[in-house]
Amino acid sequence: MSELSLESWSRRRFLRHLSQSVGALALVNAIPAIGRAVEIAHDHSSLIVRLSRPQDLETPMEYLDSSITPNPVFFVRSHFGPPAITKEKWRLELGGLVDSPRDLIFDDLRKFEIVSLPATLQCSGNGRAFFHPTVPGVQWHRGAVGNALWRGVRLRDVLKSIGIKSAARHLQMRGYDSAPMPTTPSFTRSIPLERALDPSTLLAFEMNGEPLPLLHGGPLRLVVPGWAGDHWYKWLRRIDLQENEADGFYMQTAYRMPRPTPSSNAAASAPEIPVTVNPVKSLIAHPLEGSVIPPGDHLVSGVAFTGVGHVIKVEVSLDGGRSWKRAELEGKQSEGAWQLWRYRWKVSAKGTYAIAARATDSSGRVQLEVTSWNHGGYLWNGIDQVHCEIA
Amino acid sequence: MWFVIFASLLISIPVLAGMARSEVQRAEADEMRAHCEICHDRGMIIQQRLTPEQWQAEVKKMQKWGAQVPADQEKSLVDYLSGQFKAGAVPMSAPESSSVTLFDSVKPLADPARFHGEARVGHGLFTDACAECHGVDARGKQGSNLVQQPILYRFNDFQEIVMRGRRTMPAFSGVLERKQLEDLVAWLRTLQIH
Repeated sequence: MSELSLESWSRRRFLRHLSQSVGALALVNAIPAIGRAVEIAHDHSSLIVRLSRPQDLETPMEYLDSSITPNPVFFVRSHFGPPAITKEKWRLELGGLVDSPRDLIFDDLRKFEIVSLPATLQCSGNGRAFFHPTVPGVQWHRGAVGNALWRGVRLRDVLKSIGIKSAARHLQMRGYDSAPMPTTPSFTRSIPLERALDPSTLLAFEMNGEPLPLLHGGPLRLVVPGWAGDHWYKWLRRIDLQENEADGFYMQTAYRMPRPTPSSNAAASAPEIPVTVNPVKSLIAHPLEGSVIPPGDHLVSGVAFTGVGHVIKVEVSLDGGRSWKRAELEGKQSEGAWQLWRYRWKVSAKGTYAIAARATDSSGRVQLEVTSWNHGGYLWNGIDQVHCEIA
Repeated sequence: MWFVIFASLLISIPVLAGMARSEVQRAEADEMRAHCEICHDRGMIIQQRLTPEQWQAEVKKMQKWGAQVPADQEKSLVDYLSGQFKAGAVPMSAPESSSVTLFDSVKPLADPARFHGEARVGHGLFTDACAECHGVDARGKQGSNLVQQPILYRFNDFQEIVMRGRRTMPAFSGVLERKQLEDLVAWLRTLQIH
């Protein structure tokens, strides 16, 4: 909480008490929408500023208990500042290994089938602050993640309209944002063609029913459900189809980590691979870390998601991981989107409690105590834990 | 920097020897961090907890990327960073801006009444007054890239920064007039990322 001003911290502490008192809890259960609306303001002021230049803003945990994260409190990750670009002047250049290179204007996008899907966007560095030894980079804690309803067109449809040449294997993206100095590497990355052709990969121009906000990559960004945010390219300006991955720092050095299972044939494989699929993860929204709540009935709640397949189980521990109880998963499953979970906790004994949550997905992957250390601090999915006091 | 330290010592020694040390250190730290804060705010530094080897690698990387750290300052910068921002260090200060300010500061605003910048004139002015730091094409040198930046569509903020200076940028209030700022903005708006 050290990043927050005393004033906002006090306000939040007050709201925390309000939302977790037994009376408010009943209200939340009966009419969740109204309960939430009176508890927390959905404006930008709640975001935790990890960095103001460029903008790296984290969502406070109390917002991670709804199926949709509202735009004003949705985390922001930027490598460089946002560009000055409007829909009117915006163009998307499509070139490289294609039959007919072309430039799209914004209205051209509407000629393709428009689709909407919910998907969880998580920064690959979410949880970097928990790695030991510590690693350099934005020290995200738990809230560099959100779930939104994305609306746009399938990248596949756009690619088919220009004709993909058979040698194409990767798509390199370039944006309207630019590095502060010519010697600073541009933020350009690539995505394998196979993933670009997946029907869930979108060119999105709307987020939660609003035109895509500038800080979230507007007018147009890539949406790659199940994959970490390094692929959800913002402020798209140009896409080139090519044989190889993009060159440059942000593809060849950053956003790479060791293979999950080391290859025995070191000579035949690159030592590191791009950060792609989100691992299975659950996060605890309530109770908040450090909260003080009265004995009685409480909801332990949060979100759970995984990169491939579905979350099949979330377990909660109220004794620091010695014993586990099954939480209830809510809502319907949609691959790439998070699900809410909750556990009704009856507690009478006063004292400090370590509450933990772990998720298991349909591939049998489960959250472990800690995540394997990697030098970039990527894809943390250690068992989530908060401490609260019953008093 | 050494001049600053020397001057500070001369002034301070006879008066308050105890304070001199901390003031010198502060001046030194400010000057060193200024190399970093052209591109990102101090939060990027303050939140790190790194070993001397990790800090050395970060400084090297940033020099390659364009940070103008003079060779004779590199070691003291690494020493300062490793001394302050290491394992176990306590958080130091709040971020530069609130998140509300950050969202507001990138929104385009209507130009003020009677705004009539001339791009051709602005190009000449830029070459004379700005190119030394920002590069002849405005894509950054020791000053930062100005192409397609939101500040170009917020004239009052642009005026404030140019006239008063900011961080390592000097004030131009005695050098440029208001109409000339309009010309500069008009030319800068013609540039595009490519």
